[in-house]
Amino acid sequence: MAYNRVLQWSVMTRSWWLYDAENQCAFKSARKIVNYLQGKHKPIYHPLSDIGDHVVVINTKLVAMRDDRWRKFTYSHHTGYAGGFSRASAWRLHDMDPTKVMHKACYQRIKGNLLRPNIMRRLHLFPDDNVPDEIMANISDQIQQIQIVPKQLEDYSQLERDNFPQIFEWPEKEMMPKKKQPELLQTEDT
Amino acid sequence: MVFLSIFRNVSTMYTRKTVGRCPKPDKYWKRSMYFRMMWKYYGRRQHIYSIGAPMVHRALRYSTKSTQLKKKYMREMWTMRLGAACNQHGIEEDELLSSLTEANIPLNRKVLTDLSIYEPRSFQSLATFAKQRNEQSGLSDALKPTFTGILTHGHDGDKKK
Repeated sequence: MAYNRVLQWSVMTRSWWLYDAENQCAFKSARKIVNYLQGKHKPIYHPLSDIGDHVVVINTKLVAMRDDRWRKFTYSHHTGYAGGFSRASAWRLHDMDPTKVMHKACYQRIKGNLLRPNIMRRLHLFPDDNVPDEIMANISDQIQQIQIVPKQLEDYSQLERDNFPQIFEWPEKEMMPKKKQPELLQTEDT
Repeated sequence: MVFLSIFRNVSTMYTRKTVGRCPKPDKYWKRSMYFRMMWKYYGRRQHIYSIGAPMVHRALRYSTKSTQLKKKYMREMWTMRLGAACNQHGIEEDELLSSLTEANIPLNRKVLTDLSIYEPRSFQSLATFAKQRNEQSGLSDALKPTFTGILTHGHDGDKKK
């Protein structure tokens, strides 16, 4: 029966997960990450049994938001004293600390009790994909991204762009002149 | 807890109702029953009947409520656990339960969660069975995500009917 005992250990171990936050919605991905932090992805889950896993989130600098959310979504804070209220829009908070938006999204998703700080300690956030080797050595698997990363125009080659099927060609009168790129403008000045 | 002393009270109260003339039951038996439930309180609640009795009443009220709440919470926990177990094998909880009931495999959430914890291989076989059954019946094609932003005449007509 020694083998069964070892199986039990492997069930109770804390595994490490990797999540790439590039072009992913912060709030929707937080909903998924929090399940892994609390251990809700395991069939042995119970709120009082401490079985959550570690999650390493990379590329939090490149996190995405819908519509005008960067401008309109605000984070507010109150110190408790008179006149202690402060508010910052999401883009401004993201400028100050590129991991803060993801951290807050996960923090707000977890229920507010005494287990929350310990659960949040298992979340490791990195603005880039530069992760220390000590942490990278633990990772065993990665969490699937919630949304498909769209391919941008720059990713397509010139040949693919030319071969893209067109119903008809616009006459030159109807076409808008191309905008000058800022790099070109600088060269002209110099 | 077994309260044999309560029958002494009940029998005498019953005779008082029916016959009418009967000595009142001794308070000692009723109080001893309450004192047995008051042992867990602190201070005067524990030792004085008039102070401890309301606490006992409240505790009994909570216990009757919690009999229903426990069933609710256990069901929530089973659904959460079963959802996690199903995600490991790439199948939704509703798909699994519906396909198993249609195939005359009467297993409820409690049994399925126990299987997923203590017999993961047998749960895996159930999940693969349900997946194959859905594929054969064509249910998996119907549950596939539809493309948004594409409107055709056929779809509009179906909705209006």
